[in-house]
Amino acid sequence: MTKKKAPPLFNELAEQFKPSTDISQTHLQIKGQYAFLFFLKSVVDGDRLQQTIIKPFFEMASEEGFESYIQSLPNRSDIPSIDKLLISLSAGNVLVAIEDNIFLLDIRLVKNNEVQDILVEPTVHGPQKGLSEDIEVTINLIRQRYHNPSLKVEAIMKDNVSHRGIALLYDNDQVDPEMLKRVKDKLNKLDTPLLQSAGELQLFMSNNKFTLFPTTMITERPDRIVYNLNNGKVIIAVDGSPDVLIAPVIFFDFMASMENNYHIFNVTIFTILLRYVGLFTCVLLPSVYVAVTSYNPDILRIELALTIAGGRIGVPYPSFIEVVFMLFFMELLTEASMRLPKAVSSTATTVGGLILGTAATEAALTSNIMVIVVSAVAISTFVIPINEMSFAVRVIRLVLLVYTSLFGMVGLLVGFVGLVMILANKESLGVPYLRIPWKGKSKELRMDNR
Amino acid sequence: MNRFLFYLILISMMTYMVSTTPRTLIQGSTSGTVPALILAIIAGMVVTYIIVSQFSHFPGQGLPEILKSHIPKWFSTPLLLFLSIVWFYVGLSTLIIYTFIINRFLLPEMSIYTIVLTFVLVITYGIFMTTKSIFYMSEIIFLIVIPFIIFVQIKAYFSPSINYDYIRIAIMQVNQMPNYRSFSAATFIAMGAANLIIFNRFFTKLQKPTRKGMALLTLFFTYILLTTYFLPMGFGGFDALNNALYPWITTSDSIRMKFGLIERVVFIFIGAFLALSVVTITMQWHISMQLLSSVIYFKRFKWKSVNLTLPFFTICFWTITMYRAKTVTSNSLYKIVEFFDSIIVPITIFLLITSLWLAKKGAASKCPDTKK
Repeated sequence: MTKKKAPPLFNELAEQFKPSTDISQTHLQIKGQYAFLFFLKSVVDGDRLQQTIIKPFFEMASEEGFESYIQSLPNRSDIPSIDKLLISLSAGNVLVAIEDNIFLLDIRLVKNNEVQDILVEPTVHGPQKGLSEDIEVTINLIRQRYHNPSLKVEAIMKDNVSHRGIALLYDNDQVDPEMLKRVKDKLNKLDTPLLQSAGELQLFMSNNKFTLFPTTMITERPDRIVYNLNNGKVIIAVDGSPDVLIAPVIFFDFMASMENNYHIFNVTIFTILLRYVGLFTCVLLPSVYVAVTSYNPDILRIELALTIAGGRIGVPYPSFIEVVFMLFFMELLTEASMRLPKAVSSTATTVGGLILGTAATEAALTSNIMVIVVSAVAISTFVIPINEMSFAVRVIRLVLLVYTSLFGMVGLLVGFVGLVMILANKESLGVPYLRIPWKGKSKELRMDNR
Repeated sequence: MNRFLFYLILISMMTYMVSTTPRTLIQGSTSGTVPALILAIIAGMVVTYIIVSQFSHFPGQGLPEILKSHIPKWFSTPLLLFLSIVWFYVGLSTLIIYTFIINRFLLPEMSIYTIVLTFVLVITYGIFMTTKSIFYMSEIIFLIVIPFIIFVQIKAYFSPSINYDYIRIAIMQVNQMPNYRSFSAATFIAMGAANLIIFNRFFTKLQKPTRKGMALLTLFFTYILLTTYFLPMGFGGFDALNNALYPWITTSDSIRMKFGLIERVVFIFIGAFLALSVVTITMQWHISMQLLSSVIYFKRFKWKSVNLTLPFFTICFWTITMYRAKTVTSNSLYKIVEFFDSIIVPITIFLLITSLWLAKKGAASKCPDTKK
């Protein structure tokens, strides 16, 4: 019996993978029929391998039969160049050699393909399951919610270390071709050794490294994705990340919660109003406190001005330092309770919030009204539905605070106009950031390309 | 008509509502302001109509581009230079007036330099924005501010301290020859459309003014003009207001909110108009800067691939502003603005319309096919 030899390509590949121990190079043999397999054990689904390749091999009458069987499998792909082949092998593909032909089959083992619960953007109504860490499951989830042939999915391969798959989803009928081209250019120009998540991609997508306001939105909600797809936006999914990126976005997208669409009209109006009041409160309130106590106490009605001044008796430093001091501790508290394990975080909040707050007023380090101001600011920050925006707001209010401390009430007003200027001057992939969408959203997107 | 055109015109109307215009109007109250107001409504709207319809022939082009392609250079260069100085000066006087208002009513112990610096820092950022961004910014500020202004005016019209008899006395002065000073001051506040000389770059599809749009504008203008003149009258009395420096602010200070966090309405009022004034000054200096750079541009004036021409102009702007803000007195500023309104502005408008007309003629003679 002449024993057939594995094709020379297999040995070459084995050389490349050495000294990894998880390569597997086996041959199947029955009555003069031979087939050779080459794969990495750790990334290949053993059950599926057994079901789709090994078992049929022994059931087939001839090599030709098995060959045409393999050829008709849906997960077969063409053999790429040797570099790409190495990558696809390490991603979970199996090489099958029969006679002189070699086939590449995708039998990858994916452990992280469960659909995840929504954690960051919870709603009372609306779907409670988000996306998955596996890109194919994610695309499947989106397709399941958007049965439309105009939904295009484009894969973008990047030659970086992690070889993450990036997929671009858009509704071909709705999307603005100019904008789509800009997104693709951006993605093709993307040059980073390691890309792990949508968050990182968000950084690379923005023009300016030092920008404060996000120009793309990260979301984990499938309903938000579908809603935005329908409005002509582009979704970028990264393999291994349970979030996707939406581009382009404008400021008002960050103030919209998906729940707006699920409530009755009046409730929605009320919550939207609440959110904007919260936005203005958390941006302006610390600065207003400084302006009113240090520069223009005459603005408030006399009783209130006296109460505030009375509360500040014994506080040894100007109001600016008081506000910065309290805001600083509040930021620390927020940050700590976010990062700590759940069991400890409630203790931290109690100690920080209740005990520290009371003690600070009793020690006359801050006034009682300042404690109210700070907690109002903290709470209203969390009213902003998208996290990145509330981070940005947390930073921007410090800038406004500095401007107010330097220039008083006028500084507050003019500084606020300056903030609006900064926002108005931004754009997200060619779409102006602070434009009020009077028309329908998809029409608005195309307004600049008239 | 595009909504941004309305913002352009309305914002400049409202900014001047508080500054020196009411004082000029009230000073002429016994010598023909009321007929002048009526004339000003007509004149202001006619000029707005002419400017907008002239610019609608040149979609997406600012004045420098229009003049460059249709008018000889010996005429266009001095004209652009002149216009840029005019616009700079309009912005400067607005800034100084508001600086004085703040110094007088809000921060009496702060130095003039500091107040000017507050403005100039933000405005400098604004000047360098694109024309489009300035529009979006003005829209947001306008929408935020307008509820406050409406609130203050409603509060004023329904205030128990307003005395309609004074307003009636003022209206009785209708049977006089119109006063030119009042007329020019009142017409000037309708000149927001002239900002199109640069802002027309944004309007790629500026239509001719529609009947509905013009009617709306006329309505707004009439309301603003009449409120500017008659409301302070109702509070301050026909004779007594003559000496008031800023009649509108004095007026709003006589309104109280009994149950508000802020008792004196004047602070809301100043705040709202302050925000609008920043927008106006930004627009005007943006225009001035663009006009200047279309005439004078130093190609070699570079530092690491950044051309320093515009920053150089900004520094000039800063210096002049600081110098003027410190040296000018309230009264001389008022005199200058009055002179400006009555002489320079008509000349500017005349030159602008003539040059546009010439450019249109030039365009028509160059390619007669486009006009069907």
